[in-house]
Formats: sequence, C-alpha cells, structure tokens
Amino acid sequence: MNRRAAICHPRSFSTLFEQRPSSESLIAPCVGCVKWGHPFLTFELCSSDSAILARAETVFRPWRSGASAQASQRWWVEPVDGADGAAARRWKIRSDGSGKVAFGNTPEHALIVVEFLAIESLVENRNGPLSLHGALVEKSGNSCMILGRKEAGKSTLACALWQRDWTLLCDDTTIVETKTGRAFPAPRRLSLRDTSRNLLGDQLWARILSTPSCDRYDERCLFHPDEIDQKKRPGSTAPAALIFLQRRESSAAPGKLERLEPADALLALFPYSNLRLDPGEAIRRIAPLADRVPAYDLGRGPLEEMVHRVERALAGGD
Amino acid sequence: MPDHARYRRPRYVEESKVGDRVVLYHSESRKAIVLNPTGSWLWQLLATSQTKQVLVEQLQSKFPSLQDEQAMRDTSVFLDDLLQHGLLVEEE
Repeated sequence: MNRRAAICHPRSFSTLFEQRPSSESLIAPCVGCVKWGHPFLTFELCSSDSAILARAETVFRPWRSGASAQASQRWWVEPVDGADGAAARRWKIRSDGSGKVAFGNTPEHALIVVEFLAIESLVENRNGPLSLHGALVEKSGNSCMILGRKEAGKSTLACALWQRDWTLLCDDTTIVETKTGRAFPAPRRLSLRDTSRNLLGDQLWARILSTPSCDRYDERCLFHPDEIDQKKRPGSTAPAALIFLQRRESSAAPGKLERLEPADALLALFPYSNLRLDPGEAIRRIAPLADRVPAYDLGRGPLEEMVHRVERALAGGD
Repeated sequence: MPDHARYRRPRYVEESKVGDRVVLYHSESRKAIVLNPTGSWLWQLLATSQTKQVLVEQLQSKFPSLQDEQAMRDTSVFLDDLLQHGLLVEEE
C-alpha cells in the first residue's frame, strides 16, 4: 500500500489507526505509586488500580516516611480478567527487576504477596543490609532482639512482652545497619498464628481483627500493633540484648538466661542472617554487633519466667 | 614439627576479634573456629612468622608461673590444632 495515498483516504486512515498497538494505549492509565522502607532500602508498588493503592497506603503506612527517593525494588500490580470475566479477576504482580510474575486473588492477597516479596528480596540480597531472622521489641529506649528458628517461640515471647508495655516493633526480620549498630524493624506487618489467640485473649484478638491493616491469611493474622496500642514507633533502635531461643548448643535451664561469649554469639547469629551463604562476609559484618551487644540463651520455660528474665537482662540484672 | 620451623598465617584465613577472642575463618574450607583468650593472644603474635620457641617464651613472660614443660605442651597443642585446621602454615 502506498502509505502517503492511504493517509488521504478516509477508509485507509481507519486501517492505519488500527495498526497502532491498541486504542487503549493511546490513553495512559492513571498510575500511582506507593513507596515504603528505610533510607537504605526502599520498595515501591505501582498500579493503576485505586483499590490496590489504597490498600498499599494502609499496609505500608509505618514505613512510608522512611523511604528514600530512589526505590531499590519495584512491583507493578494490575488487575487481569480471567476467561470467566470479573468473577475470575486476579491481580498480576510483576517485579520490575527480575520480571518475575505472581498473582493475588484479591487486592489484599496481592499486597500480602508484595509484602512477602519485599522481605524475600531483602533476605536474599547478600549485598544489601544485614538482616537477622528475629523479633525486635523496645522499652524505654532499650531494644531486644529475639532470635530463633521457625516456631522457636519468638512471636510468643515478643507478644508476652508487648502485653507488659513493651513496644513490639517486628516479629520476624530485623535489619541491622552494621556501621552504626542500629536495628530497624523490617517493613512487614506482624504475623501471628491463630494459636496466639490463647496468649492474647479473646478481647485483644477481636480488636486485632478489627484493625484497618488486618488481613487473615493461612491461619495467620497480619496487622500493625500501633493500631492497637497507639504508640509511636521509633524508626530504629540501639539493641541492648540479643536473646536466643532454643539454640541447639544452648545449655540454659528452663526459664533461665545464660550469657554467651561474644565470639560464640557471633557464630550463633550467623545461621539467622541473610549472609549465611557467605560465612566470611557474615562474620565480618556480624562481629561488631556481637562485640557490642550482650547475648544470652534463654531456656524455654514458663512464659512469665522468660519475660521476667528478659526484663532483668535489659535492666542489667543478669 | 621441627624446632627450627617457623609458623605464619595463611592468606586465606580471615580473623575477627570479638570480645577477648578471635574468630578465624578459613575461606576455602568455609569453616570457622573460635580461639580462647590465650590462643587469641598467641594468634596476634603470629602476625609475623614465629618459631615455636619464641611463642613459648612469650607465653611464659605473660604467665610467669607457667612451667617450661607446660608452656611447651600448650604451645605445641595450639600450633598442631591450627595446622590441622589449615589455619597456619609451617615453613622450614
């Protein structure tokens, strides 16, 4: 076809229009982005879906102000209709860097997936900040990291301390800035198993379920504790104690604390770090923390006794 | 272990001082070992190559009550352990 002639002809002009990618792409969708994280670790979620953006504002609210201008990782979340129409609508999550794709069944589920992917990218990044698999609680300016393998009781102890007026900052992953030794709660909601209801009581559990950020997922409840206790969270804290739960080499009696040599604490921290695949780098970066912060094994015993021991350790009594 | 042998740190061993102990990391075998405070102190002396006799003398000057035989035995065990883990190199 002679293109110049075609443009002068109405019907051919129509054909030319249809050759564009699609009529929809001529109108840019209204895309919004939500950033969250820390100055040295910023994530971003972009979407044209207002429901996703509104939910992201709620889910990532505590870490919105800490984000830097430049995002280190970005996800695009868009609704996609299935073959059955709106009933099969899902939310496609695409990572900007890797191009990996995941799906959420609802906006809430899509946000849970992004929240998890952000933590995964943090934990799997050996060039990024040091992260440790542990809870972080704070009282009167002193914070305590509670470390242990899966189901060692980190969340249980952290919640018990929360009920004794400690500020619960995170229950799963803590970021440590090696240079300053400051600990930052990882940008993820608390994730309590349904069994925590026994510890927290029906009334508090019901309050948690009614908080704006709460999502139920896989027999767990994800939420922001500041929506319950209304306490302002510090962006970072100076850890004053490291508490290990159910460490294999521990000889601590039930409910008792046993002080670890700093060098032993270093080796004990290593398996809980994101650098466990690079032991040399892990040792270099964990050493200042182990050197500076007293570490203890805490034997599993009556919860009240464990809480009492942690409080004494922070007060310098152990 | 000949008496005139000298001992030095290999390049592939990284050290981190934590408290009063040194953690040694063998970057090829990817194994770490924690030295006790006295071992950590001896390790510092091995920043330059040393003979066993010099280490024994240094140990006795730090712990004057240490008998010759005990100082020699402790130093030998320390050097043997490090050699066995590949954390020390012996030179003729």
